[in-house]
Amino acid sequence: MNRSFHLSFIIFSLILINSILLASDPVKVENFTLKDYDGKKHSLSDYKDSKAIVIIFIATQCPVSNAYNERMENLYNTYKNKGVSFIGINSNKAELLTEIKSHAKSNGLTFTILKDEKNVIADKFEASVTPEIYVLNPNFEVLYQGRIDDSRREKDVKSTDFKKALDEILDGKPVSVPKTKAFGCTIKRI
Amino acid sequence: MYNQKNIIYSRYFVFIFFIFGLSLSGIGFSQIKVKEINLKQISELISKREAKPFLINIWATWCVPCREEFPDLVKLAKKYKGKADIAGISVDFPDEIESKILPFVKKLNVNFPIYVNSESEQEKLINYFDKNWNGAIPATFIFNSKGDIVQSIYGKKDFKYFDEVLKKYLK
Repeated sequence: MNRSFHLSFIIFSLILINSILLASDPVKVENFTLKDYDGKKHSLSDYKDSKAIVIIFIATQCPVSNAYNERMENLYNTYKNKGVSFIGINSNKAELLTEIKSHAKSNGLTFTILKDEKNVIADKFEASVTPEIYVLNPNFEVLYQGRIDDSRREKDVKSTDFKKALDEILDGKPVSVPKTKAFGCTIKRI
Repeated sequence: MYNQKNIIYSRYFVFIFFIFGLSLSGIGFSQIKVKEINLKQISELISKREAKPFLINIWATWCVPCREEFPDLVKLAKKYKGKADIAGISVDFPDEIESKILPFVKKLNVNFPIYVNSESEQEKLINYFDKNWNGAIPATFIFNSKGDIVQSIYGKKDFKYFDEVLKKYLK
Protein backbone atom coordinates (compact mmCIF):
# COMPACT_ATOMS: atom_id res chain seq x y z
CA MET A 1 0.00 0.00 0.00
CA ASN A 2 2.73 2.34 1.11
CA ARG A 3 4.90 1.34 -1.85
CA SER A 4 2.14 1.85 -4.41
CA PHE A 5 1.39 5.26 -2.87
CA HIS A 6 5.04 6.29 -3.30
CA LEU A 7 5.09 5.00 -6.87
CA SER A 8 1.91 6.94 -7.72
CA PHE A 9 3.37 10.07 -6.13
CA ILE A 10 6.58 9.76 -8.20
CA ILE A 11 4.64 9.22 -11.46
CA PHE A 12 2.36 12.16 -10.69
CA SER A 13 5.37 14.39 -9.93
CA LEU A 14 7.11 13.36 -13.18
CA ILE A 15 3.99 14.15 -15.22
CA LEU A 16 3.68 17.52 -13.49
CA ILE A 17 7.35 18.44 -14.07
CA ASN A 18 7.11 17.32 -17.70
CA SER A 19 4.00 19.39 -18.32
CA ILE A 20 5.64 22.46 -16.74
CA LEU A 21 8.74 22.00 -18.92
CA LEU A 22 6.63 21.52 -22.04
CA ALA A 23 4.56 24.60 -21.25
CA SER A 24 7.66 26.78 -21.00
CA ASP A 25 9.24 25.45 -24.22
CA PRO A 26 9.60 28.31 -26.70
CA VAL A 27 7.65 28.12 -29.93
CA LYS A 28 9.89 27.30 -32.91
CA VAL A 29 9.35 28.95 -36.29
CA GLU A 30 9.94 27.03 -39.53
CA ASN A 31 12.31 28.42 -42.12
CA PHE A 32 10.58 30.47 -44.82
CA THR A 33 11.51 32.40 -47.95
CA LEU A 34 9.94 35.67 -49.08
CA LYS A 35 10.84 38.40 -51.57
CA ASP A 36 11.67 41.97 -50.60
CA TYR A 37 10.21 44.94 -52.49
CA ASP A 38 13.05 44.75 -55.02
CA GLY A 39 12.29 41.11 -55.79
CA LYS A 40 15.29 39.69 -53.90
CA LYS A 41 14.63 36.46 -52.01
CA HIS A 42 15.35 36.25 -48.29
CA SER A 43 15.18 33.10 -46.18
CA LEU A 44 15.05 33.06 -42.41
CA SER A 45 18.03 30.69 -42.56
CA ASP A 46 20.10 33.54 -44.14
CA TYR A 47 20.04 35.16 -40.70
CA LYS A 48 20.98 32.13 -38.60
CA ASP A 49 24.32 33.64 -37.61
CA SER A 50 22.63 36.61 -35.93
CA LYS A 51 22.51 36.85 -32.15
CA ALA A 52 18.81 37.61 -32.50
CA ILE A 53 16.37 37.94 -35.40
CA VAL A 54 13.69 40.59 -35.09
CA ILE A 55 10.58 40.04 -37.19
CA ILE A 56 8.21 43.03 -37.33
CA PHE A 57 4.78 42.72 -38.90
CA ILE A 58 4.21 46.18 -40.34
CA ALA A 59 1.77 47.98 -42.61
CA THR A 60 1.82 51.00 -44.89
CA GLN A 61 -1.70 52.23 -44.13
CA CYS A 62 -2.06 51.43 -40.42
CA PRO A 63 -1.77 54.66 -38.39
CA VAL A 64 -0.42 52.74 -35.39
CA SER A 65 2.30 51.05 -37.43
CA ASN A 66 3.10 54.41 -39.03
CA ALA A 67 3.35 56.04 -35.60
CA TYR A 68 6.24 53.64 -34.95
CA ASN A 69 8.18 54.17 -38.22
CA GLU A 70 10.80 56.42 -36.66
CA ARG A 71 11.09 54.28 -33.52
CA MET A 72 11.50 51.10 -35.61
CA GLU A 73 14.24 52.69 -37.71
CA ASN A 74 16.02 54.02 -34.60
CA LEU A 75 15.90 50.57 -32.98
CA TYR A 76 17.28 49.01 -36.16
CA ASN A 77 20.15 51.51 -36.21
CA THR A 78 20.86 50.91 -32.52
CA TYR A 79 21.05 47.13 -32.83
CA LYS A 80 22.25 46.41 -36.39
CA ASN A 81 25.91 46.48 -35.32
CA LYS A 82 25.25 44.33 -32.27
CA GLY A 83 24.52 41.18 -34.26
CA VAL A 84 20.77 41.70 -34.46
CA SER A 85 18.92 41.31 -37.78
CA PHE A 86 15.71 43.20 -38.45
CA ILE A 87 13.12 41.93 -40.95
CA GLY A 88 9.88 43.75 -41.62
CA ILE A 89 7.03 41.68 -43.05
CA ASN A 90 3.99 43.17 -44.75
CA SER A 91 1.12 40.65 -44.91
CA ASN A 92 -1.74 43.02 -45.75
CA LYS A 93 -3.45 41.87 -48.93
CA ALA A 94 -4.11 45.37 -50.27
CA GLU A 95 -0.59 46.71 -49.73
CA LEU A 96 1.36 45.92 -52.88
CA LEU A 97 5.12 45.82 -53.50
CA THR A 98 5.26 49.25 -55.15
CA GLU A 99 3.41 50.82 -52.22
CA ILE A 100 5.65 49.04 -49.68
CA LYS A 101 8.74 50.32 -51.50
CA SER A 102 7.56 53.92 -51.73
CA HIS A 103 6.36 53.83 -48.10
CA ALA A 104 9.79 52.59 -46.95
CA LYS A 105 11.57 55.28 -48.95
CA SER A 106 9.34 58.13 -47.83
CA ASN A 107 9.50 57.08 -44.17
CA GLY A 108 13.22 56.34 -44.15
CA LEU A 109 12.85 52.63 -43.31
CA THR A 110 16.18 51.06 -44.27
CA PHE A 111 15.79 47.58 -42.79
CA THR A 112 14.71 44.66 -45.02
CA ILE A 113 10.99 44.55 -45.71
CA LEU A 114 9.46 41.42 -47.20
CA LYS A 115 6.10 40.92 -48.85
CA ASP A 116 4.10 38.03 -47.45
CA GLU A 117 1.83 37.22 -50.39
CA LYS A 118 -1.39 35.50 -49.29
CA ASN A 119 -0.38 36.05 -45.64
CA VAL A 120 1.17 32.58 -45.44
CA ILE A 121 3.84 33.64 -42.94
CA ALA A 122 1.41 35.70 -40.84
CA ASP A 123 -0.69 32.54 -40.59
CA LYS A 124 2.35 30.50 -39.50
CA PHE A 125 3.20 33.06 -36.81
CA GLU A 126 -0.51 33.45 -36.02
CA ALA A 127 0.16 37.18 -36.30
CA SER A 128 -2.96 39.32 -36.61
CA VAL A 129 -1.99 42.84 -35.61
CA THR A 130 0.38 45.56 -36.81
CA PRO A 131 2.81 46.55 -35.53
CA GLU A 132 3.84 43.37 -33.75
CA ILE A 133 7.32 42.03 -33.02
CA TYR A 134 8.69 38.53 -32.73
CA VAL A 135 12.28 38.09 -31.51
CA LEU A 136 13.87 34.77 -32.45
CA ASN A 137 17.11 33.19 -31.35
CA PRO A 138 19.41 31.61 -33.99
CA ASN A 139 17.44 28.35 -33.58
CA PHE A 140 14.31 30.27 -34.67
CA GLU A 141 12.70 29.95 -31.26
CA VAL A 142 10.41 32.83 -30.27
CA LEU A 143 11.85 34.54 -27.19
CA TYR A 144 9.65 37.65 -27.25
CA GLN A 145 6.34 38.43 -28.89
CA GLY A 146 4.35 41.64 -28.69
CA ARG A 147 4.51 45.38 -28.75
CA ILE A 148 7.43 47.74 -29.30
CA ASP A 149 6.44 49.83 -26.28
CA ASP A 150 3.32 50.79 -24.40
CA SER A 151 2.14 53.90 -26.27
CA ARG A 152 1.73 54.89 -29.89
CA ARG A 153 2.43 58.43 -28.65
CA GLU A 154 6.16 58.41 -28.12
CA LYS A 155 6.08 61.08 -25.40
CA ASP A 156 3.73 58.88 -23.30
CA VAL A 157 5.91 55.76 -23.40
CA LYS A 158 6.58 54.32 -19.96
CA SER A 159 7.68 50.79 -20.83
CA THR A 160 10.04 49.95 -23.71
CA ASP A 161 9.15 46.27 -23.64
CA PHE A 162 10.83 45.16 -26.88
CA LYS A 163 14.12 46.94 -26.14
CA LYS A 164 14.20 45.49 -22.65
CA ALA A 165 13.62 41.97 -24.00
CA LEU A 166 16.28 42.38 -26.70
CA ASP A 167 18.84 43.66 -24.18
CA GLU A 168 18.13 40.68 -21.94
CA ILE A 169 18.60 38.31 -24.91
CA LEU A 170 21.91 39.96 -25.88
CA ASP A 171 23.05 39.71 -22.24
CA GLY A 172 22.26 35.98 -22.30
CA LYS A 173 19.51 36.38 -19.73
CA PRO A 174 16.01 34.90 -19.88
CA VAL A 175 13.42 37.39 -21.12
CA SER A 176 11.55 38.62 -18.06
CA VAL A 177 8.35 39.54 -19.95
CA PRO A 178 8.22 37.33 -23.07
CA LYS A 179 4.73 38.36 -24.22
CA THR A 180 3.02 41.76 -24.32
CA LYS A 181 -0.02 43.23 -26.08
CA ALA A 182 -1.15 46.54 -27.52
CA PHE A 183 -3.97 47.90 -29.63
CA GLY A 184 -3.19 47.86 -33.33
CA CYS A 185 -4.59 47.32 -36.80
CA THR A 186 -5.89 43.95 -37.91
CA ILE A 187 -3.79 42.30 -40.65
CA LYS A 188 -6.10 42.20 -43.66
CA ARG A 189 -5.89 38.67 -45.00
CA ILE A 190 -7.01 37.21 -48.30
CA MET B 1 -47.85 96.35 -46.97
CA TYR B 2 -44.95 95.47 -49.24
CA ASN B 3 -42.48 96.30 -46.45
CA GLN B 4 -44.30 94.11 -43.91
CA LYS B 5 -44.14 91.13 -46.33
CA ASN B 6 -40.45 91.78 -46.86
CA ILE B 7 -39.81 91.74 -43.09
CA ILE B 8 -41.71 88.43 -42.72
CA TYR B 9 -39.79 86.85 -45.62
CA SER B 10 -36.45 88.04 -44.29
CA ARG B 11 -37.31 86.57 -40.84
CA TYR B 12 -38.13 83.24 -42.52
CA PHE B 13 -34.78 83.33 -44.32
CA VAL B 14 -32.89 84.09 -41.11
CA PHE B 15 -34.70 81.18 -39.37
CA ILE B 16 -34.03 78.75 -42.23
CA PHE B 17 -30.34 79.74 -42.38
CA PHE B 18 -30.08 79.33 -38.58
CA ILE B 19 -31.52 75.78 -38.76
CA PHE B 20 -29.32 74.98 -41.76
CA GLY B 21 -26.26 76.23 -39.88
CA LEU B 22 -27.15 74.14 -36.84
CA SER B 23 -27.55 71.01 -38.92
CA LEU B 24 -24.17 71.59 -40.53
CA SER B 25 -22.43 72.00 -37.20
CA GLY B 26 -24.33 69.10 -35.67
CA ILE B 27 -25.31 71.23 -32.66
CA GLY B 28 -28.79 70.79 -31.32
CA PHE B 29 -29.69 67.56 -33.09
CA SER B 30 -27.14 65.13 -31.75
CA GLN B 31 -26.95 65.11 -27.97
CA ILE B 32 -24.32 62.37 -27.82
CA LYS B 33 -21.53 62.83 -25.32
CA VAL B 34 -18.35 60.82 -25.06
CA LYS B 35 -17.20 59.97 -21.56
CA GLU B 36 -13.89 58.62 -20.37
CA ILE B 37 -14.06 55.13 -18.89
CA ASN B 38 -11.55 53.06 -16.96
CA LEU B 39 -11.47 49.34 -16.21
CA LYS B 40 -13.41 49.64 -12.93
CA GLN B 41 -16.12 51.68 -14.66
CA ILE B 42 -16.29 49.18 -17.54
CA SER B 43 -16.80 46.40 -15.03
CA GLU B 44 -19.61 48.39 -13.37
CA LEU B 45 -21.14 49.17 -16.76
CA ILE B 46 -21.34 45.46 -17.52
CA SER B 47 -22.65 44.37 -14.11
CA LYS B 48 -25.11 47.19 -13.35
CA ARG B 49 -27.67 46.65 -16.08
CA GLU B 50 -31.10 45.23 -16.54
CA ALA B 51 -31.17 41.61 -17.63
CA LYS B 52 -30.33 42.11 -21.29
CA PRO B 53 -27.53 40.95 -23.57
CA PHE B 54 -24.77 43.51 -23.96
CA LEU B 55 -22.59 44.13 -27.02
CA ILE B 56 -19.39 46.12 -26.50
CA ASN B 57 -17.47 47.19 -29.57
CA ILE B 58 -13.83 48.25 -29.21
CA TRP B 59 -12.86 50.68 -31.93
CA ALA B 60 -10.83 53.77 -32.85
CA THR B 61 -11.20 56.62 -35.32
CA TRP B 62 -7.79 55.68 -36.80
CA CYS B 63 -9.05 52.16 -37.59
CA VAL B 64 -10.55 51.95 -41.10
CA PRO B 65 -12.46 48.64 -40.62
CA CYS B 66 -13.85 50.01 -37.33
CA ARG B 67 -15.22 53.05 -39.14
CA GLU B 68 -16.65 50.84 -41.88
CA GLU B 69 -18.36 48.62 -39.30
CA PHE B 70 -19.99 51.46 -37.35
CA PRO B 71 -23.07 52.16 -39.56
CA ASP B 72 -24.11 48.53 -39.05
CA LEU B 73 -23.82 48.96 -35.27
CA VAL B 74 -26.07 52.02 -35.48
CA LYS B 75 -28.59 49.93 -37.45
CA LEU B 76 -28.28 47.15 -34.88
CA ALA B 77 -28.90 49.54 -31.97
CA LYS B 78 -32.11 50.71 -33.68
CA LYS B 79 -33.35 47.14 -34.11
CA TYR B 80 -32.47 46.01 -30.58
CA LYS B 81 -33.60 49.16 -28.70
CA GLY B 82 -35.01 47.99 -25.37
CA LYS B 83 -33.99 44.36 -26.02
CA ALA B 84 -30.18 44.52 -25.90
CA ASP B 85 -27.60 47.10 -24.85
CA ILE B 86 -24.87 48.30 -27.17
CA ALA B 87 -21.85 50.45 -26.31
CA GLY B 88 -18.69 51.50 -28.06
CA ILE B 89 -15.35 51.98 -26.35
CA SER B 90 -12.88 53.96 -28.39
CA VAL B 91 -9.18 53.39 -27.84
CA ASP B 92 -8.29 56.81 -29.20
CA PHE B 93 -6.73 59.10 -26.62
CA PRO B 94 -9.11 60.91 -24.20
CA ASP B 95 -7.79 64.25 -25.47
CA GLU B 96 -9.12 63.34 -28.93
CA ILE B 97 -12.82 63.39 -27.91
CA GLU B 98 -13.54 66.80 -29.41
CA SER B 99 -11.19 66.63 -32.37
CA LYS B 100 -11.77 63.06 -33.60
CA ILE B 101 -14.38 60.99 -31.75
CA LEU B 102 -17.31 63.43 -31.55
CA PRO B 103 -17.16 64.52 -35.21
CA PHE B 104 -17.28 60.85 -36.25
CA VAL B 105 -20.15 59.78 -33.98
CA LYS B 106 -22.16 62.91 -34.79
CA LYS B 107 -21.74 62.35 -38.51
CA LEU B 108 -23.15 58.84 -38.15
CA ASN B 109 -25.89 59.89 -35.69
CA VAL B 110 -24.67 57.20 -33.31
CA ASN B 111 -27.56 56.12 -31.11
CA PHE B 112 -25.75 54.21 -28.35
CA PRO B 113 -23.31 55.22 -25.60
CA ILE B 114 -19.75 55.93 -26.65
CA TYR B 115 -16.83 55.96 -24.24
CA VAL B 116 -13.13 56.53 -24.61
CA ASN B 117 -10.69 54.34 -22.77
CA SER B 118 -8.79 56.12 -20.02
CA GLU B 119 -7.00 53.02 -18.77
CA SER B 120 -3.33 53.80 -19.35
CA GLU B 121 -2.25 50.15 -19.34
CA GLN B 122 -3.88 48.93 -22.54
CA GLU B 123 -2.80 45.34 -21.91
CA LYS B 124 -4.99 45.26 -18.79
CA LEU B 125 -7.99 46.28 -20.86
CA ILE B 126 -7.21 43.73 -23.58
CA ASN B 127 -6.87 40.90 -21.07
CA TYR B 128 -9.98 42.02 -19.17
CA PHE B 129 -12.09 41.34 -22.25
CA ASP B 130 -10.28 38.26 -23.49
CA LYS B 131 -6.88 36.76 -22.65
CA ASN B 132 -6.71 35.25 -26.16
CA TRP B 133 -7.26 38.62 -27.85
CA ASN B 134 -4.05 40.27 -29.03
CA GLY B 135 -5.42 43.81 -29.32
CA ALA B 136 -6.28 43.94 -33.04
CA ILE B 137 -9.34 46.12 -33.58
CA PRO B 138 -12.23 46.17 -34.24
CA ALA B 139 -13.19 43.58 -31.67
CA THR B 140 -16.64 42.99 -30.21
CA PHE B 141 -17.57 41.23 -27.00
CA ILE B 142 -20.99 39.88 -26.09
CA PHE B 143 -22.12 39.59 -22.49
CA ASN B 144 -25.21 37.64 -21.49
CA SER B 145 -27.97 39.02 -19.28
CA LYS B 146 -25.98 37.90 -16.19
CA GLY B 147 -22.94 39.91 -17.29
CA ASP B 148 -20.83 36.90 -18.25
CA ILE B 149 -18.80 37.17 -21.44
CA VAL B 150 -20.23 34.68 -23.91
CA GLN B 151 -18.60 35.53 -27.22
CA SER B 152 -15.51 37.31 -28.56
CA ILE B 153 -15.69 38.55 -32.13
CA TYR B 154 -12.43 39.59 -33.78
CA GLY B 155 -12.33 41.77 -36.90
CA LYS B 156 -14.93 43.67 -38.90
CA LYS B 157 -18.41 42.10 -39.14
CA ASP B 158 -21.69 43.23 -40.64
CA PHE B 159 -25.28 43.79 -39.48
CA LYS B 160 -26.39 40.28 -40.46
CA TYR B 161 -23.58 38.68 -38.45
CA PHE B 162 -24.23 40.75 -35.30
CA ASP B 163 -27.99 40.26 -35.70
CA GLU B 164 -27.58 36.46 -35.69
CA VAL B 165 -25.28 36.66 -32.64
CA LEU B 166 -27.60 38.89 -30.58
CA LYS B 167 -30.66 36.79 -31.44
CA LYS B 168 -29.01 33.82 -29.72
CA TYR B 169 -28.71 35.63 -26.41
CA LEU B 170 -32.16 37.23 -26.24
CA LYS B 171 -34.40 35.67 -23.64
